[in-house]
Amino acid sequence: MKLFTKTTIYYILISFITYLLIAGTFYIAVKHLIYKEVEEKLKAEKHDFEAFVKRHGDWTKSSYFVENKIEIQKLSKFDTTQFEDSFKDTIFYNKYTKEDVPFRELTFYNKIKNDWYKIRIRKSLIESTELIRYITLTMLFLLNIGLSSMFIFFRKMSKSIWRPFYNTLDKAKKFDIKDDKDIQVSETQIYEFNELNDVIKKMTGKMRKDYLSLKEYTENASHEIQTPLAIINSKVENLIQCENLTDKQVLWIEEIQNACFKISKMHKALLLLSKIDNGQYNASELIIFNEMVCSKLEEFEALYHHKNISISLINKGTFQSNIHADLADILLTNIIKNAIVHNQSHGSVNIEIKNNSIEVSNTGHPLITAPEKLFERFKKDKSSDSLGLGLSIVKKIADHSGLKVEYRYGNSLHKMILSK
Amino acid sequence: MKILVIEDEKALAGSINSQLEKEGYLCEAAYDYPSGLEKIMLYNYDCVVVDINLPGGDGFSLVENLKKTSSSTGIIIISARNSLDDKVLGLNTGSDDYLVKPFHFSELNARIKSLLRRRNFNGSNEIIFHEIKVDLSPRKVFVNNKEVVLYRKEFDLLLYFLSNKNHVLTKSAIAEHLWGDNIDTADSLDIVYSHIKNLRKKLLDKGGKDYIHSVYGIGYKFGDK
Repeated sequence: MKLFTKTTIYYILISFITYLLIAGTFYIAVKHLIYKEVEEKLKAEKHDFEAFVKRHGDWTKSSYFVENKIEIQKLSKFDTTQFEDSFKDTIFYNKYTKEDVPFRELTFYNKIKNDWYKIRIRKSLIESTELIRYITLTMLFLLNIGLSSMFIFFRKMSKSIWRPFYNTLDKAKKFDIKDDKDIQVSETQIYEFNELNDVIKKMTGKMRKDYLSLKEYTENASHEIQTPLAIINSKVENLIQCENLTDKQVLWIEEIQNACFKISKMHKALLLLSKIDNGQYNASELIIFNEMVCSKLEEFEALYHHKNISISLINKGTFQSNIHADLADILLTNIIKNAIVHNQSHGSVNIEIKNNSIEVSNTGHPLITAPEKLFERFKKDKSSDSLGLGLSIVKKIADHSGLKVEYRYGNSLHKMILSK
Repeated sequence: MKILVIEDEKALAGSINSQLEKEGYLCEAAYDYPSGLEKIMLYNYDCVVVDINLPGGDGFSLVENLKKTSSSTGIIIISARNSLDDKVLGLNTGSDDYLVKPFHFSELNARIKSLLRRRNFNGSNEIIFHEIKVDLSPRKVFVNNKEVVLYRKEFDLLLYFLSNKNHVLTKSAIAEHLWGDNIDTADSLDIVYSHIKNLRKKLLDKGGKDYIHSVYGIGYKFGDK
């Protein structure tokens, strides 16, 4: 939920409650006032009535009270109901306007010519309710205007107050660690936002610095390690050229050289993995894999001829994907090489290219390691001379380029499926 | 033939130079950017072997300078950087070849020879070794003036041997020269063996002498014993 929506919802909720409270209180207050007024009048009329009865000894001559306005009931001698005055609301049907009309009624007891009477006088509330309605409506209308203008003002204000925050958020979203420049945030008048900006500036600055130093490290490590290896290698080659070496010495020398090349290869492979992680291969172009598969097969021709492996390539469609050219090359090299190297002599490799997948299946010895561990680093057969990094590189490149790679085993065929 | 090696690791530069001298070249070395630049400005070389990461400057700009002052000089970049981008940049700035460290000396030697041949004979030339004659532009081989039909890889192998005469070539160096970096399995050594067997047989069939000597079981050496 957006910040604005959230605050707006709170605002509306709170103002609605306030609105109801104010309206309710106001209604009660006005009603109370009007009742008080009506009751005062009724009491005054009661006094008038008592005075009239005292003077004339009768009330019927008075034209003061009309129908519905007074009701007199003679009480029996023994009826000793309470002699207290009481007010209550009643409703009468007005036959002229044909509607129910609310009345306030005062009940009191009076002695006329030795008899006790129960007297009820009434006053219509209709004018008063009308009044209440108008006053309340006017009040509500004014309140409404007040609250809405507050609301609009509040929205405008929070928009301008939060603007620096949204600017910073936008900048942070657009921040790319590979860009050459630090994040640029503008100074604001609000202390908290300035603090936030400072923190973001510091954080991204640190991130960029770390990224750059890591990148520099990987680049330098590549150079710095390969160079001594090149020296070892060149010295070993000098040694090999010497005439009077024993067979054993030459074998040792060769083993040194092979180990040296293996370190170099392993280092290059690990470097590749970390370079992919570092996002140094993020540039991509549309690569058509079909042609690449063909050229890779040509590259490995000597190897599969030597092992008498039969190759079949079926193009059922065109597999193309946006991927870094180097990575596509490494990906296919590793998959195809894997299928040829871990094959038996007189085996076969079948490659089927469809629009959405490339399936490479090959004969070979049954798998010893668990299939799900196949893509982990340094998982390999003990007998194998390989580094055990090929398939983890395949996995890394596939993940990085939005492709899926999975391994299946069935019908004594190893199957590697690369799909979109 | 004068060759300049610009490489900041003195041990590596020294080792390259001593082997190149054995091949009969006049060699000089520079260990950083300024001295390398000074040398290429002052003297003429047939070939310059240059590293990319140099103290005091970038190998690429040395290559550019070299192209401006003497365009006939052959340039080979040796670098630990093996990304395609670096290779393309190297070749675009005017270098003739790009070799990734670590490399076999025989590989560098073969590339220098091929480069010098292309420069000096405009791409059409012959290599003659006793009764063997290799015609490079139509890629034909004659033994005692009789043509020997070789497969592409066998031809490359013979050329590699001729470039590294009397030099022990390890099987892995041969495999890498013929099939590149990607074939590094145990099988490749058997493949090298079978290619050498075939080449030797074809040369012997036309009455050639056996110049391919197996060395202690680790490699081969081409030349008069």
